Amino acid sequence: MAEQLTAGALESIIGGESIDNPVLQVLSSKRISAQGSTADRYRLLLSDGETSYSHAMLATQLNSLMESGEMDNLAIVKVNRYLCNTIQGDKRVMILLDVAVLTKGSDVGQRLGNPQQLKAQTASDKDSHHSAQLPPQMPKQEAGGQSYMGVVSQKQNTNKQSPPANPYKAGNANKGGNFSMKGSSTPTTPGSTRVHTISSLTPYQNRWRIRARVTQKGSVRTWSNSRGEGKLFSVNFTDESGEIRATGFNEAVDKYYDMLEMNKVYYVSRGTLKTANKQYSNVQNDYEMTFNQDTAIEPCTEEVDLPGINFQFVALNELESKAANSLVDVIGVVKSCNEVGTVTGKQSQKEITKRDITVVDQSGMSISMTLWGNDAVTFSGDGNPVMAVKGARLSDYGGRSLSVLASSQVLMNPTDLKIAFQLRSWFDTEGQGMEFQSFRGEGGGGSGGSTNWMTFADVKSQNIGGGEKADYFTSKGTVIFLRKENCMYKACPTESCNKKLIDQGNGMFRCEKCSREFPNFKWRMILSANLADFSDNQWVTCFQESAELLLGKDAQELGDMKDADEAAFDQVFQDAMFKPYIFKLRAKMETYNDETRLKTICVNANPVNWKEYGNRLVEEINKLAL
Amino acid sequence: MADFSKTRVNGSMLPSFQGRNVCVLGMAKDVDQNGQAFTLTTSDGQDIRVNTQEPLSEYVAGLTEVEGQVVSNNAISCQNYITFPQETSDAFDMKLYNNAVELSARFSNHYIVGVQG
Repeated sequence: MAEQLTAGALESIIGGESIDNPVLQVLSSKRISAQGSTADRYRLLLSDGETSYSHAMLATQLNSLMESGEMDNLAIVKVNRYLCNTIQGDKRVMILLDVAVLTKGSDVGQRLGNPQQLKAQTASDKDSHHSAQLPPQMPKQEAGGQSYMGVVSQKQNTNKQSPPANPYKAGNANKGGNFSMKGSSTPTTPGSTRVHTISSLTPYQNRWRIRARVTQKGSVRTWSNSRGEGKLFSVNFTDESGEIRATGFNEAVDKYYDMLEMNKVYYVSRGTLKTANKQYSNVQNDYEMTFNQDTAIEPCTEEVDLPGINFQFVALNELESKAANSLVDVIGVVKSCNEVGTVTGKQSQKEITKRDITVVDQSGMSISMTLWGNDAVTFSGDGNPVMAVKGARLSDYGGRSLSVLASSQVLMNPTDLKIAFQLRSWFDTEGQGMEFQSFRGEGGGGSGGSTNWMTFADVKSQNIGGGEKADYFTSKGTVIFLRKENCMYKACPTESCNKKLIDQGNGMFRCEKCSREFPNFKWRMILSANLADFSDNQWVTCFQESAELLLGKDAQELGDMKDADEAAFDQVFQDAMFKPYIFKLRAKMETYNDETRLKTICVNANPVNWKEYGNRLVEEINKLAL
Repeated sequence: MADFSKTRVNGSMLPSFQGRNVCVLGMAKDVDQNGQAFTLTTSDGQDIRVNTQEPLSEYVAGLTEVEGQVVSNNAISCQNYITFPQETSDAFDMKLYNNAVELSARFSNHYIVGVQG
């Protein structure tokens, strides 16, 4: 046996110190059968040659080591990753997360050294329930959860007595002292409360308690789908170690939504932790939290020095390299802002207020940022404020542009960010007069950038749409063919739902999205059109608004006509032929069952403004410099 | 070979189109007393004389297009003409039109007019 055990490691670890990769011997183990669907757990008696410790558990992902017999009794192992948690006030439990078996027990054959049971250290907090000789406590099994032991950090200091299980070989209980988690902060409230760092939270133990500031709070959202409906809200908690996203559903909304206020600090314990769904947040954490029946949240009344919102700003000129539809943090100066306007939501068909503003920064770029709803109305760009946004959505509209979402956090003229002061002084001196470069993209003139004009031949030769993301371009095209068949479908009459209805045959139509049946429907159009210019032609799909524009009739009229007067219906299509329009198109390669083809859709169609078009042509010809 | 082309021209192009059929679009004014002639301000701001075959039956003013034969450096003999309504006349972008006329003359191989005999 060449391996030496790391003498003194156990005592240090239980004492709260951090030892890297200690080499220990597994003296014996005990399997704890799971209740219900949870996995078995293995409790280990570990030795470092000097001390033995019986409150050690193997993380369930390592269960195979026990089942295969690889980590048998007397095996020498190197612990690469472990955790040391405190339960019931001062008892310490070591959890092995990653282990390498150095020598099999069968090869070792004996106990190394002469390990003694770790002496209990004096507990300095008022856990009066303990006596010196507590029977060995088995980790309490949480029904249905994957947890075993964690921290009991209730302020009220309830000492849960778990039923003593079969006395473990080691005999006496080992009590930990007044130790806190690796790298955690010190308890501040009387009553033996322990606080853990957000970065230490994992799904493998659920008796923890964090103290954190609410650095983001979204509004309550409701949903309704085929599986039911409900409401939810999310917050971001931040402490010195990091941040984590927490979501509350249904009753939790009622319980906690009003209580949790932005920028205030709370103690949170007993939430459910699971792997983070990065789609919904840009928080840097592998896990996210859900409030459950047992969750306890209390306001923290002491003065704590927790950091505020954690930004990771991206300079405007670097946004081009970021993926579209991702969330970014930006900071800049509001150079100008437009009036509040309204748009009709494509999906919702509702009127939404919005306001576009232009933000610039020291990289020399300017970008268009859109505010929605109330934010749009209350915004003031007076005095060119510094604006910081966390979690703005980056879009490839207009090349690159930003949108402030419900989940984004906006700080105007933030006083606790150094970079804000830098921006202020930069703008006041040189930034004001600077010429900024804006992002190139589609869009008819005006602020924000130039239109990406393409001929249809260019589209094909330049492999437009072949890249990772969709390409947007503008073309002047003439309608040379319209597919009359299947240009309309019966859609759900619900305001914001356009899902195709399933004909039940009994005069009722079913919408799967709304889980409802209707006797009525609304007609919606999906029109396949072939557009051409001098160079080539292109098949394009036009949706409701653009289809209605091309045909000069609205969907409802057309739907009625189809059944009533076929000749008139055909005439509409005839009349639409050979008319020119300026089309804003979006092309993307899509794969359907092994076949990849270019799919082009019409985002917008407008009649040609001949003056504008003519002037552009003159410019282009002059540019040719023939 | 009969010349079926009716190239669009402006005032400064007239000398190069002597004796040929042209099309001139401009602003009409100053109709003669006997109604057989009027002045046309061409797209490049030049004034030319338009002589009609028969006396005009209407008062010609505003945006007008004249087809005819060039008789001198600054006059054409009108064979056909059309007038445009007030709104069109007001909205017309003369500068853009002039650009179009000059470009199509400059690149006449790309902007072919009339029938190739």
